[in-house]
Amino acid sequence: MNDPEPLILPTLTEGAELVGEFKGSGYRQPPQLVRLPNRQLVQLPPLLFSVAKALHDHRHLAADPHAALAEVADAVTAEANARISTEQVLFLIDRKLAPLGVTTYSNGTAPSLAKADTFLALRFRTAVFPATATWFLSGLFAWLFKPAVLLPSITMVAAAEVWLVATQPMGEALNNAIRTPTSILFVLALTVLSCVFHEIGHASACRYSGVRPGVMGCGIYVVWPAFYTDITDSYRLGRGGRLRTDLGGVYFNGIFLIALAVLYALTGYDPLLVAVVAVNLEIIQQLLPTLRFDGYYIISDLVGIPDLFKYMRPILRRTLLRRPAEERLNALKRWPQIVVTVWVLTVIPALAFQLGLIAIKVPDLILANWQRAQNLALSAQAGAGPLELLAGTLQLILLTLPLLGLALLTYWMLRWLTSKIIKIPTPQQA
Amino acid sequence: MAFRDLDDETLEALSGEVLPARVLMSVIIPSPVRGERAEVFYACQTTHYYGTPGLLGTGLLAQEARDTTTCVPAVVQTF
Repeated sequence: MNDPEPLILPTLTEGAELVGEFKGSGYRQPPQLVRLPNRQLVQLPPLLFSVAKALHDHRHLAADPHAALAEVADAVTAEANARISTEQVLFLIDRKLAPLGVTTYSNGTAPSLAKADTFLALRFRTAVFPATATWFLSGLFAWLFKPAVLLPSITMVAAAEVWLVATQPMGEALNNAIRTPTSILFVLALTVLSCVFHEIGHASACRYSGVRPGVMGCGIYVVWPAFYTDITDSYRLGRGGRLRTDLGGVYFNGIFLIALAVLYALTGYDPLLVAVVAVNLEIIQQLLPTLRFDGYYIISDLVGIPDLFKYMRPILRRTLLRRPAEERLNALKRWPQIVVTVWVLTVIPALAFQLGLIAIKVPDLILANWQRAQNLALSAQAGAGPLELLAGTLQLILLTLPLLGLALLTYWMLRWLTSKIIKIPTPQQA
Repeated sequence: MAFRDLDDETLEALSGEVLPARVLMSVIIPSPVRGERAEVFYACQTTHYYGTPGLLGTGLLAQEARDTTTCVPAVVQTF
C-alpha cells in the first residue's frame, strides 16, 4: 500500500497578486479578483478568495503545514462567519483554486495556468509595441482626458461633424477620390492612422484612469486586419474608469476628425472628406455591441459583467427552452440580468440578420471581385504605374476579405451555437 | 461565537473563472473602391448603380441611379 503524499502548505502561485473586489459588478455577491503571473485575471467568489488570502497571510508557517492549515481554516471561518474544516480548505485548494492557477496543489505541484474561453475574440495577433512603449505613448496623450480638455474637445468634435457632414460636398469628394488611385492610397493611409490613434486612445484612457495598459499590436480579426491594445488590467478599475477606457478610442477618433477638418479647411483637398466618412464609419462600427468591439465592452462594463457571451446559453435555455434559470444567471442582480437578456435576444437575431443581408450581397461581391481582377490585369498590360497597380491590388484584397470573413463567421457561429445549446464537447473538453 | 458549518454541497458549487483578456481592437475600414458597376467599402461595402437612361431616352423602363452601403457587422443601406 502506498504512503499518502506528504502535505506541503500550498501557496499563491509565484507572481500572482490578490487584487480585491471587482468594482461596480452586476453580481449579487461581488466577486474578487486575483491577477495571475501571465497578466490574466481570475474572478473568485468571496469564500475562495478568503482561502487564497489566508494562505498568503500564513505562508510564514510553511514549516508546519498542518498547523498552518488549521490557522487558515480559522481565518476563513472568521471571515465567512461559517465554520470550515482543514479538509474542506484542502478540497477548495486542490479542486477550485489550483486548477485556475491561483495556488499550488497540496502535494506541492505547481499548477498550469488556465486560459479563458474567448468566443469571437482576436485570436491571431502579434505585439508590436511592448507594454513599456505603450506606457510612454499613452503618457503623451493622457492629458486629453482632463475635464478642462475633454469637454471643449467633445464640443469641437460635434461642431466639426456638423460642419463637414452638413455643409461639405461629401458625395462629390467620394466620386473624385475614387477616380485616382493615389487618393485611394492616401485615404487608406489616413484610415490606418485613425485606427492606430484609436488604440492610443484606449491606452491613454487606461493610464489616465490609474492602471497600466499592456502591449499594442496588430492581428487578424476573423479575417480582417486589426489593431489592438491589451487593457486587461482595467478590470481593476471601477465602472467609471472602465467606461472611460472603452470610450477612449472613439474619443480619439473624434480628435482625429478635428484634425481632418482643420486640414480640409486649410487645403480644400477632397480626399480628406472621404477620410472623414471612413472615420465616421469606424466610430459607428466600434459602437455596435455585437462582436467584441468597443460597444460590447461598454455594455459589459455598464452592467458589471466581464463576459456577456457566457450568458448566451443560460438565457437561450431559459427563454427558448423554458428551462429553470441556471445558477450562473441567478447570481446576477436583477437589472443586469434584464440587460444581458435583452442583449442576448437582440444580438443573436441581429447577427443572423446581418449575416443574411451580407450573404445576399455575395453574388455582387464575387462579380465586383472578378471585374476588379480583370481591370487589374488590363491595367498591368496597358503599362499602369506602380501606384495604380498597388491601389488595384489592395482593393482586390479588400473585396475578397468580406467573402472569406462571412464564410468563417458563419462556420464559427454555427459550431459555437451547436456546442453551447446541445452541449457537444469541444476538442478541449473532450 | 457559534458558526454554522459549511456543507460540502455549498463548497462544490463554488467556482471561479479566468476572465477573458480585454483586447480592444479596431478593424481597418479601407477607402472606397470601384468595380464596373460597384463601389465597395471593406466592412462597409458601397455599391453604386449608375442607372439606365431608358428606352430611346424617353425615360421609359429607366432605372434610377442609386447607392447601397453594407457594413460589417452592421448593415446600413441607403438608396
